[in-house]
Amino acid sequence: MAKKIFQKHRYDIALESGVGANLVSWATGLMVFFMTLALAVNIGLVSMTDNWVASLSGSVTVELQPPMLADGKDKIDEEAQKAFGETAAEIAALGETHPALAGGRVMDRAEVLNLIEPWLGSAMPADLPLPALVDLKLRPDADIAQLKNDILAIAPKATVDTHDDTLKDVSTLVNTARLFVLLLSGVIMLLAVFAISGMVRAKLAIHHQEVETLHLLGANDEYIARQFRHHTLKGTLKGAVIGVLAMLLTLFVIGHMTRTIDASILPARDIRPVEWAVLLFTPILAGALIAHMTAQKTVMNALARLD
Amino acid sequence: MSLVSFSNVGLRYSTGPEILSDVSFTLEKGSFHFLTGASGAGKTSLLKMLYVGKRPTRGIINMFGQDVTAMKREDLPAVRRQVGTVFQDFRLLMHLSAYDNVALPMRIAGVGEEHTRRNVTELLRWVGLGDKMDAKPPTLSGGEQQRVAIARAVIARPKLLVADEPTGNIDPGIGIKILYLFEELNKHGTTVVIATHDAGIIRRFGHPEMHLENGHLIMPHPGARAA
Repeated sequence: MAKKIFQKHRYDIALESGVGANLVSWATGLMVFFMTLALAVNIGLVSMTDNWVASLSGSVTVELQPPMLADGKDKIDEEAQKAFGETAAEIAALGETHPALAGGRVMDRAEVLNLIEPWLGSAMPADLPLPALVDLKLRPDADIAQLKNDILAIAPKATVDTHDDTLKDVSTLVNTARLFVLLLSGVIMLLAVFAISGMVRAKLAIHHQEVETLHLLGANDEYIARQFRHHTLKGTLKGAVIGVLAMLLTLFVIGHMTRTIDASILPARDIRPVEWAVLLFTPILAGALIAHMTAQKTVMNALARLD
Repeated sequence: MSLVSFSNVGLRYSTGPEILSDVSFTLEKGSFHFLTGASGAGKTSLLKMLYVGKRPTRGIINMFGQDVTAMKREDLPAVRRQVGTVFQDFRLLMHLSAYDNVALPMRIAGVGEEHTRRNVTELLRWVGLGDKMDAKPPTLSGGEQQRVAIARAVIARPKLLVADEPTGNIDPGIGIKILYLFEELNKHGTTVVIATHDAGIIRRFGHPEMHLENGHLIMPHPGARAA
């Protein structure tokens, strides 16, 4: 099929010569480039959300504020510090006994530092009072409200974060971004339709006499439309392949340049084979389909005006 | 039944005056006519309606048993495929070879490539262009282009052959040969209408004349009966 499309084809109308013979390829290449970018951004956003959801759901984080210096004192009270540690351990121990939990542990200082490092930097003072973070693993269908009550019974000032709000915010943000990307893809496809239609109309005007001669020799509209369709499809596929390859190269360069961004800010994973297939073939297939249908419709409409 | 009949046909372009008025005639199957008349008399316009390049602004044209004036446009190609036309300006497709130009009507009609190749090769040899099959029209002389146009008009053995000054640009010897080709087709049943100014050709072949004067068909001769 592909070989048949790309082999040297004899057109009764001189579609492959003259000014603008390759315009369809250039225009499609550009549009497919941006469409692939939009798809890549979409796949990236989905991947990012999946990672966030996977890392945040199924767990509860309990935050205990560290004891502060009392007025007039230059050292934290040892008793308060001891009670702070014991409360955290008690909450973590719920992991073994509470029906809603499958496990629990107190994050060590290094982990807590690692979590706040992207915002505060690595040069933090050694005696910086840090909150205690207890990571509790939830069982499926856990009664979160009851668990929250039980935790607050141990530490009334504790913050119990079930990550629902965070996940909701992330989902809203990502879904908005995805909607924007989808709208952008729609606009790109609409532009492709207008561009291809305009180019086909221009070609019809340039080759008006040849089209008329074919009509007078008995060619029907379909015979003439087939030539425009084939020419447009060939140009579109050529442009689409170039556009996709150019975009992949761009993505590779962007990926290489952003490799240094901290993984805790931008969680990422490799693109799955099925996503590669979508990224590679969707813009090409969409381009081919748009070219095929637009050329057909434009030529048939224009020819219908002739006798 | 007549092959072609015109009844009170009138033709005008846009809002201009009538180029042809009240033209009525019938062409019997297998007839051969010369269409004569001064420049501007309406010969080309009449031929246009014969090859269904234009439909009349009034009157009725019946071709091959169908009313062309009332026909849907999607049915016109089938009628046009039964008409072979030699256009005054040849209308060759300049990017195609002589071979491909002549093969066009057969390809349009969906004839197989092998059958097309045999017929086109034979016909191009017959019109003296056997060694120029791959040549593109811009590299051919006016006479050679005209022979390509004539070969294209007759290749599909049309029911009606219409030619606008087919011998105008070629040397008399070839012109006579072409007319013999048209006669040969005519003997096999093709109806022929040739617009010409060449009185010598008309005298030599002696076929009936249809004469146009100021848009009126005023001298229908036997064979082209005034309706």
